[in-house]
Amino acid sequence: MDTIIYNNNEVNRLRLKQIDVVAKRTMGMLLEQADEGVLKSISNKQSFEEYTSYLDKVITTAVRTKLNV
Amino acid sequence: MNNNTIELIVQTLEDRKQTIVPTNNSIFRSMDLADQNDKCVNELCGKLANIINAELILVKNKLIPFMQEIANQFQTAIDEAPSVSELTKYQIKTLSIPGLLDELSAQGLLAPKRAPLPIGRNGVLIPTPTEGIRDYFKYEKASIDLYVKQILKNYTDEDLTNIWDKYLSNIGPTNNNIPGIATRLSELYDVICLLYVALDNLRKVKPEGVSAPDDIYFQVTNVFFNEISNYISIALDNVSKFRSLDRVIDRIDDRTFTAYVDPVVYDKFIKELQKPDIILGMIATPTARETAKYLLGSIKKDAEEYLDTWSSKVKQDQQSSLGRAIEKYKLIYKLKLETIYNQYIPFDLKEHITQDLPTILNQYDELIKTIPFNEILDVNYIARLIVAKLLFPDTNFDFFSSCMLSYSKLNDNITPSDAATFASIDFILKFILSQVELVGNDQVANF
Repeated sequence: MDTIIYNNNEVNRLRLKQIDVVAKRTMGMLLEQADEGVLKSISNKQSFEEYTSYLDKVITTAVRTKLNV
Repeated sequence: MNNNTIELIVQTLEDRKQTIVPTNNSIFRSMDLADQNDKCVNELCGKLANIINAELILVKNKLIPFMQEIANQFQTAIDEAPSVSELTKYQIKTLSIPGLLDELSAQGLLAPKRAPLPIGRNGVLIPTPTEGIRDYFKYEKASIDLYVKQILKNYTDEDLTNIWDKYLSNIGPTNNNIPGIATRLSELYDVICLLYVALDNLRKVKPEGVSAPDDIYFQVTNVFFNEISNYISIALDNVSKFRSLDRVIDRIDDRTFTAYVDPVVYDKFIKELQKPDIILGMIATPTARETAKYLLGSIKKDAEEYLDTWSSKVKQDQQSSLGRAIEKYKLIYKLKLETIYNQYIPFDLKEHITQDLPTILNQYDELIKTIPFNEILDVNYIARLIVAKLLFPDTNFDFFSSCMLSYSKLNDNITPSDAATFASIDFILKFILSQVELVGNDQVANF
């Protein structure tokens, strides 16, 4: 099997995208699983947009804090 | 994260010559770095979501209701415990002047007022009835008996027995309780009314078991009856005289910190000055004990002084009672924690308890030392800490509940489900970011 060699920038870029994906997908799955009323309802377009925007902001802040960037 | 943000971070890390690498046993070690959508990523996200969902169910359905139950138990125990304030012992009591006094006067049944006389040289012993004592406290005339019944409502057979033992079992010069009645009329309104009724019966019919000859018996009981009748006339005259003088306070009892006030003049006092604290200040002022100072005019003149005395008493009490309150709360939490551990942990939560009671109580002692005073007085806060940090430290209740609380404090409009969502996001990010670390580029080969 071929081994792909990434440079450091590529490693960082892919890892950041992976963190973003895992966080969002886990949260999405959790919202699907949770009983009604336990978590915020994001059934309509407006609440979905608010939720995704909030999630994006929180992930960015948490990552930047962790990496001190 | 949008691409611009990612590129900015990448650029910064390049400048710093740093790389993001998975920690030991990181979930990212099992993932292909390039593939964001493979089965492995989905499986991992699914597992994580399952774990968090189970935690949320535990928190919402079991731990939060349990925490609320504990807070209620704390609050009940605190409410039932004696007050730590010294101020609660200062009281204003309205003198209860029985309607019987006026009714006896209105019906012309009282002896004219005169100076009290000694009981005389003769005495009689009347054994206290062992049964049917209430029969001696019935007045033959229904219009009077109506008022007697109002007084009797507050007296048990045992109370009546005590009155009999004290004043009627020995009517004569050797009973030291009798001379004291005249000087304590306003304290003994009910007693003199009851003695009036009992003596009115006793002076007419000599009960069995009395050894004194009839002539002495009827003479002594009549003398005592007339004396009691005279006391009632004096009492009524005092009430009328004190009201004409606007004497608000009848007396202040320094032992019980109680001021006894005349109901009519006290109403006038409240209408004019509106501040009962003035009277409380008088209880706290030893120099306010002269009866001339009990008059409305005199109280008005010195009202500011009494109010100042009371205010400083309140301030002083607040300072000292805070310390006492904190000690009281700490003790109640600890005692209740022991009871809760032994009796109130629901069966389905017991599996999450991992520490024994002595360990938990030791941890409580250490924990409570670190909590600021104002938070010790917050039963909800302490209930949360006890559930989160002492009873169920191995669950994620501490993280979820403190996160939810912070979000709720930030904005009053946040619902519990909003707060739970934000807490879940924080939980996921905390977990994911614990799976990576930053190292210098020269160390990357080690990972």
